[in-house]
This record gives sequence, C-alpha cells and structure tokens, in this order.
Amino acid sequence: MKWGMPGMTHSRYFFNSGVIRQNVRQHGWIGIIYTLGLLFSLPLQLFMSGNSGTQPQKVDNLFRVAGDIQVLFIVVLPVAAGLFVFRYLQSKMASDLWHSLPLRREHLLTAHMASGLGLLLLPVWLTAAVTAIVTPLGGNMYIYSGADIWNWCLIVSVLTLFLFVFSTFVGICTGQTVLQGIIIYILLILPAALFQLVNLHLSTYLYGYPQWSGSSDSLYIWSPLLRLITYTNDIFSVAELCIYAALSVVFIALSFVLYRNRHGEKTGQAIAFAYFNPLFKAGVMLCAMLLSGTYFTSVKPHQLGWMIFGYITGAILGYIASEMIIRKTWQILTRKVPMEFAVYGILLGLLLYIPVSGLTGYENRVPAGEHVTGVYAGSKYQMYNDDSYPRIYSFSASVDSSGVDQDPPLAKPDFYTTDKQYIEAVRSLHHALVTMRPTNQDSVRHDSPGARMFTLAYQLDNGRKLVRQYWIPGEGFEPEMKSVMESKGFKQNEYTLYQLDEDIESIRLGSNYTNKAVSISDPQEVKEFTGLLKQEILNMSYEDQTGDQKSIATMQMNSKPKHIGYGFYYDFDWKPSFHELENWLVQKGYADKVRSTAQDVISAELIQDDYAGKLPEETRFDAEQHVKLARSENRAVIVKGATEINDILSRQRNFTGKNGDYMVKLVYKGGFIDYASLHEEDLTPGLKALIP
Amino acid sequence: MIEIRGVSKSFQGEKAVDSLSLTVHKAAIYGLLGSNGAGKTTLLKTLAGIYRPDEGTVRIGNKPVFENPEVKQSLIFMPDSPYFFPQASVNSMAAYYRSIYPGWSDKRFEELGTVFRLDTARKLSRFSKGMQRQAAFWLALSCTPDVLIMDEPIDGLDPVMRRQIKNLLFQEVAERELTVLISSHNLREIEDLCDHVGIMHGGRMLVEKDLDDLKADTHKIQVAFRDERHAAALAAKLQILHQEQRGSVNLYIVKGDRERISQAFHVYEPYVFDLLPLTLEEIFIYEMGDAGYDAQPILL
Repeated sequence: MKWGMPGMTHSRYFFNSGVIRQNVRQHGWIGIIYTLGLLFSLPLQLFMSGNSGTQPQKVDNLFRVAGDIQVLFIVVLPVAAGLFVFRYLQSKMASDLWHSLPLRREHLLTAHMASGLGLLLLPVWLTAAVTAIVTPLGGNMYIYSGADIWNWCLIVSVLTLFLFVFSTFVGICTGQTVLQGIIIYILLILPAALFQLVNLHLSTYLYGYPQWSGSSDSLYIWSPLLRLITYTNDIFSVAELCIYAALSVVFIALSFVLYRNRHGEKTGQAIAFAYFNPLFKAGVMLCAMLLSGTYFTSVKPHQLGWMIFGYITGAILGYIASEMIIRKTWQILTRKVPMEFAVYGILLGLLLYIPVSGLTGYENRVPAGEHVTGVYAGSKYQMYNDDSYPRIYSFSASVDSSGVDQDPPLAKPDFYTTDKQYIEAVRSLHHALVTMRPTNQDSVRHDSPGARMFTLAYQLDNGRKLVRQYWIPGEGFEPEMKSVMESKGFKQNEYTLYQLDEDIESIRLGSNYTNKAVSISDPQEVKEFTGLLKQEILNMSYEDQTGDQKSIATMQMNSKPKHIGYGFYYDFDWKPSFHELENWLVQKGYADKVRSTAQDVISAELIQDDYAGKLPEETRFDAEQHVKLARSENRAVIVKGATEINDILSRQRNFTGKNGDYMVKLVYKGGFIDYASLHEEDLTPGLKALIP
Repeated sequence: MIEIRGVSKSFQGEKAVDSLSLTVHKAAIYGLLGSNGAGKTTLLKTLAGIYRPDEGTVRIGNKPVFENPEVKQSLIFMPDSPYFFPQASVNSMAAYYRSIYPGWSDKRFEELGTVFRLDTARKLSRFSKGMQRQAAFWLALSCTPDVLIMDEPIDGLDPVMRRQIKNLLFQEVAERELTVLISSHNLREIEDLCDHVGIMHGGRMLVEKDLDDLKADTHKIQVAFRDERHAAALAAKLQILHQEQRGSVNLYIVKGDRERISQAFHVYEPYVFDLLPLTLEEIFIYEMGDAGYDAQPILL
C-alpha cells in the first residue's frame, strides 16, 4: 500500500487554490473595505471637492485629492490584512490545522501572501482604473494626466506591498496578534524616534555635538509611517519607492527563512524565536533608558543625581515591561531576575556612556590644519546643509561653469571656504572653545549678550567631515571671534552674500518702525546698490557685527522669476555702519524716504534702568515695566529736541534689559512702540545733560 | 508503519516528551494512554508533523513526516477539540479538504453521509460539540487517509455514535489497512477498540502491550487453600504480580499460561478455586505497580 500519492503539481503546492479560496472567503471583507475606502478617497473625492461654480484645478499628483483619507486606508488596511491573514499563526487551533495539512511552510506562506496581496492590490488597481475612466467626465473637479494615475497606482501599490509584507514578517516573529499589531506600528515609527532620542542624548552629553534641528520632514523620512502621514510636502520619489520595494523583497525573504524555522508551538508566545528575546529586551530597555534619561535631564538639567535616576528608572521600567511581555505575566520576580537585569543594565549603560564619555576623543578633537580642505563657521549651517533647502528656497547663484544655457539646477552654493588663513582662524577658535568649554547654563545666558550658537564644520582631505556646534558667550573669546568674523569666508555665508549675485530685479527699502518705503528698480542703480551693499558687509568689523545696533531699514531684494516660474526675495538689514551705502542713498535721494527721523517720532522717553531689587527677575525683558517704574520714581525724561532724538535713532541698540544701561521708549507715527537700549558711550553730551 | 525513535520535545525548558520510541504497525489501532500532562498531545502533534522534534526521528512508511507533504497527504490529525474555519459548513470544509488532500473521495463522503446525519449547509459553529466531532470524523474519513491520529476523540459522543464510529474504524482498518493512533486518559473508553496500548507518563512510555497477549496472559485467581503453607510453596512456582489476603481467601494476579496455572493450583486441592478474566484497567494497575508506579494518578 502506498503512503504517498503522486499527482500533486507544483502550483497546487505553492498557489494552492483551496488555501487562497479559503482566505478570500474568510478575509474578503478586507479587500472590500480597501476598495470602498480607496474609491471614496480618490475617484469620489474628484467630484465632491470644490464648489460647482469653480473651475477644475490642476494637481501635480493625485495625493492632493483627499490625501489624508487615502493615507488612512493605506496605513491601516495592509497591516490589518497582515494581522488577519496570518492570524492562523497566532491561534493554536488554527495553527494546528494549517500545519497538519500536506503543505510545506513555504507553500502556506506563498499562498497566504498571494491571497493577502490579491485582496490588497486589486482594490488599488481597480481604483486607478476607475480614476482613469472618470478623468474626462464633467463634474470632475481636478485635472490630471494618465502619468499621474500611473504614478499614484505605483506608489500605493509599493506602499501596500511593503506594509503588508512587513506586517507578515512581524507576524512570523511574534506569536500574538495584538502584539503583532503593536510591534508593527512601533517599528514603523521607531527609526525616526530612535534617531531623535540618540541625537538628544548625544547633544546633551557630548560637548560640541551638533544638535539636529532640521525640518521634521527630513526626520520623518526615517519612518515609513510618519513619512506617509506627512506625505504632502513631497510625494514619494523613485529612490524611495525603490527602497521600499527592496525592503519588501528583504522582508519576504526573511519571512520565508524565519517561517521555516518557526516552531509550531510558538503560537501565543510574545516572541516566536528565542534568540530574539535578548534583542527585544535590550531594545525596549534602551529606548526606555533614552526616553526617561533625556526626560529627567531636560527637566532637571546639570544635576547628576536626577540624571542617574532617570536612566536607572528607564532601565528598570524597560526591563520589567519586556520581561512581562515575554513571560506573559506580571509576576516576573525570580532569583535570576536581579542578576540578568544587572547584566543588561551595565551593558546598555556602557553602550550609552562610552560614546559620550570623552574616551573617544570626540570632544577635544580639532583637526590638524594640513588635513583641512575647507571650513565653515557660522550660525547657518543647518540651512546650507539641509537637503530640502534648495527645493524650498532655490539658489541659482552657483551658475554652472560649463556656461551651457539651460535651466539651472536648484543647486546649493558651496559653503566651505578653502582660505588657509580662515581655516586657521576657525581652528584657533575651536581650540579655545574645547579648552574653555563654555556652556549656556541659564544663569549665564542673561548676562551674556552677543552670545551665539556657532557650527564649525571641516571638510577633511580624507573626504570626511567634522562638524561641531558650540554656544559661544559674548565675552571671553573676542580675539578668536574677531579673526573669524572679520573673514570674508565667514561673512559670505553668514550674510548670504551669494544672494546678491543673483539677478536682482528691484529692491524695496522699508522702515522697520514706520510705513516709509521706497523701491529701486533702475538696473544701473540696482547694480550699484548691490555692489555697495556687498562691500559694506565685507567691510563690517567685529564690533559692527556684535554691537547689536538696530538696523535702520530692511532691504528686500527681488530676484527675477526663475525657471520654476517665480522669483524669490531676500532680506538684508541696513546697518548704521554702512556709511558708504548711506551716502549713496542720500545722494540718490532715497535715504530720507526710508529712514526714521525725529519727525517720525511722536515721543521719546529716556531712562536709566535701575530696577534691580525693585522688579522681579522675570520682568527683565518686559520693557514697559521698567518704564513705569522709572516714571513712578521720576527718573523718566521726555526727549524733545530733534537733534537728540536723531542721535538716539542713529545709536539705538536692541533692548537687553541690562540693569544700569539706558533705555528709550519710542512711539512712532502710526502708533508703533519700540524699546531700545543705549550704552554709556552712546550718549551724546546733549542726551547726557537730560538725565536727571 | 509508524516509527518514532528517541523523540524529545521541550517547551520552554520543560520536557513534554522525553526520548520516546514507539512503533505502530500498519492496520493497527494503537491506544495512547496517560494522565493529563503526560505528553500525549505533544507526541501526537509531533507525529502529525505540526511540531518539529527537538531530537529523534518520526517516520511513517520510512519517510520523515515533518514538512513532508508526500507523507502528510495520507495522514489526518484530529485535535482534541474540533476546529473548523469560521463560518464554515460541512460542505465548505469538504470543498477545502478536497482541494488539499489528493485522497479525498466524494463517494466516501456521500456514503458516510448516511451515518452522520448532519445538515451539510449549516454553519459548523452552530453545531453542538458532539456534532462537530462527528463532522470531524466524517471529513477525516472522507480523505481516505492511511494514518489517522486522534487526540481524545471519544469525548462528547453519545453511546450510539461511539459504537458507530468504532465500527467505522474497524471497517477502515479491515478494508483499507488504516492505521489508527488514538489517545485517551480513560482506558475503559478505548478498551474494546485498541489492539495495542501504551501508557505515557512524564513524557516517557511506561508500558507498551499487545492487548490480546495481555488478556491471554494475565489472570485473577481467588483461592482458599487447605494449608497456609501452600501459598508460600506456590509463590515459588508462579509469576505472581499481585497478592492479597481477604480472610481465608487469597487473591492472586498471575502471569502465565492459563492451563499451567490451573494445574499448579490444583496440585494443592484448594477448597475454592476461581480463575477470572481481568479488566484492562486491572491489568495496568497491577503491571504498573509491578514496575514501581502508582497507577492511580496515571489511569482513571
């Protein structure tokens, strides 16, 4: 008698019709909901948006049409399909039945994946087809091309594939459907969250670590889920789709490998593979430690006790949580628990501590001058380095050297400077900083006007970069700062001089205090103006840059429209130190049309600030309180003379609230009220005489 | 032939089956007995290819079972509580099995329909436990398997249906050489069904017996001797498993040939001599007592 029976064809094994039919019968509702959801959120919305009177609008991609609702379905249903189709792995009785069938694991997986994908992809394609069919119909409020539909279809198909496959993969790694669902979404967010936490950790403890503060979009790119939810700024690029497709292939492959080794009895267990347990435990602990540690450090900064408390609390909570999940009980205390916790805690503690310990030499490293090929210093590193920056702001300053007449790519200017002297200046500032290690503790900040956050970035000859970020107080680093800040390389980047090299069409000068304004559009004058402005900026001394003088007016440079259809405008300040420019403006008759004079001021009230002990510390920047206090003590003087008011206007600095300084309250015509500081040396004899 | 050789299976460090070996011949009905937690279900699931043994081999017809569709397509495993797909009816389950098992026989399915009078269009989840059990038998037998593995199958069946199913199994064994492996914690339930019985405890096989041999081989004897010393003399001559004295009557459980034992007693011309058949349960209790186990917690 025969024990086996011939006649089973290959496809009967792999795409077993019985299995697929059973899946469709059992889980067909997922396909139906997906179909209805997508039909509702795309083709139907084409007709529902807008008023009947308005013209159909053109969209550059179909996610612009009720994308939020589309994303809701795209995020939820592929994962749900993964949960339901692979529910049989997590339920004992179903698992026994399926695994007793004469089908190998790869047959089961193939058939289940095929049925899941069928349930998910057919709705996508159907929706795309319906969208195509309704394109020419009247009442369709949107204009889009066939390519847009293909694009949409491709993007949604790839994302659906990825989410379903990922859900499957997690399902194979775990043994509980609830946990599977939770883990899926956690893992989909985790890369971005971990990125953020590690960054926070390093920037808290590693002196000079550049705190990441880019746009959330560039962070969300690390998390498929957040990326999907915030899709609006950019639709998925080809590269991203390729990555998701490649990841899908990887997860499919891993699913097959892991499923083959998955024990049937693991249904109901949290983690289906024992060798994932330590990884899971360590992962949960690490995240909890980072989360709790950075929380307590930010609430109670610079207090060692709280910091250690934070990390230990995180470690304990993480350990307990993971242990409870793995063992499926809250009674986890056994004799081996303290020992195991200690081992995990010490290893993870080292993992967190070593990178920030200084053992790596990170904090004191200043690259040797001969290895530096380019350097950047200043406060705009994030802007220059942000990949999304050119797309948002667009530069065409770096005209392509080939001279080919084409739409210039939206390229970034090279913001590294190769000048040796400048490199040395930055290096010596860097040296001074890592030696003195100034920190911006709250108490210091108030008394440190002119403090700045600088990024120092080096391009090294081995192709790598070294980037540090420091808080530099206004005092203590004057010589080093002076040689950096007076360099051309610094000013070019810090004052975005490349913008003046663009095709400027017109310039609008506008007062910051009144509504006085004037426009310059004569090409010759524009050219002279931008040339002068550039020169003035390059001529600024250290003191001009750090003196905190109020600017006289804002100058808005309007560029010619670019190939993308519109131009940009760039703002510059008219600083009191720009004497050449001032002369030019006076000569052309523009100056008085913009700058404020005594005629524009209704009243000017001068006081010498003396609020220490009389006003609470929180009111330091509440200038009106200072004025009221001075009035009540009869220390406030109304400045009447036009000369004196003009002196104030040309010398005023930003209000700092420093006790002992002079301050002015200015009321302009048009009702604008402004407060300014004056130093002792700013007072002309005429003004000094007014002070009681 | 089912051959289990040195199979071990642990769950989270606890051994459910411990280096167990077992052979079941073709067309045999093998009863696997043991208390709860003895490892019966684990052994059966390993045999059905659901679990992969940690150690040892499980072979049917000299081929490994795990992940081997060729063997598994002629093997049906019936779990202790029947499981069907949600919303399924007998008809839809039949369609499913038809697509999976090459040995599925529509003819057999229809024949069996006269035995199991179930509504084939009704949802199985609405059936009572006993009816679900019947449906499971119906579907399993319709697949015309070579090996049928059943975990506690008799639970919930009424006596008539029990009889019916037993007859069906006998018929299948006789006509198609079906091999049956059946587990139970209740010896009485499968006493009249099995030709071989094995008792598991703590993951190991304690005793394994051919029932016909056993019954022919072990006897209960009630005897009243003329002289106390006769008892001692007898003990040397016979293989006595168990002995107790109730007043003047001695009770013996003796192993050996019926005729020879009878002659051995008659030499002493006892006042009373009764040679009685043993129930299977009694045999096991005495056998296991002999092997150093207290049978009470193992067999109920």
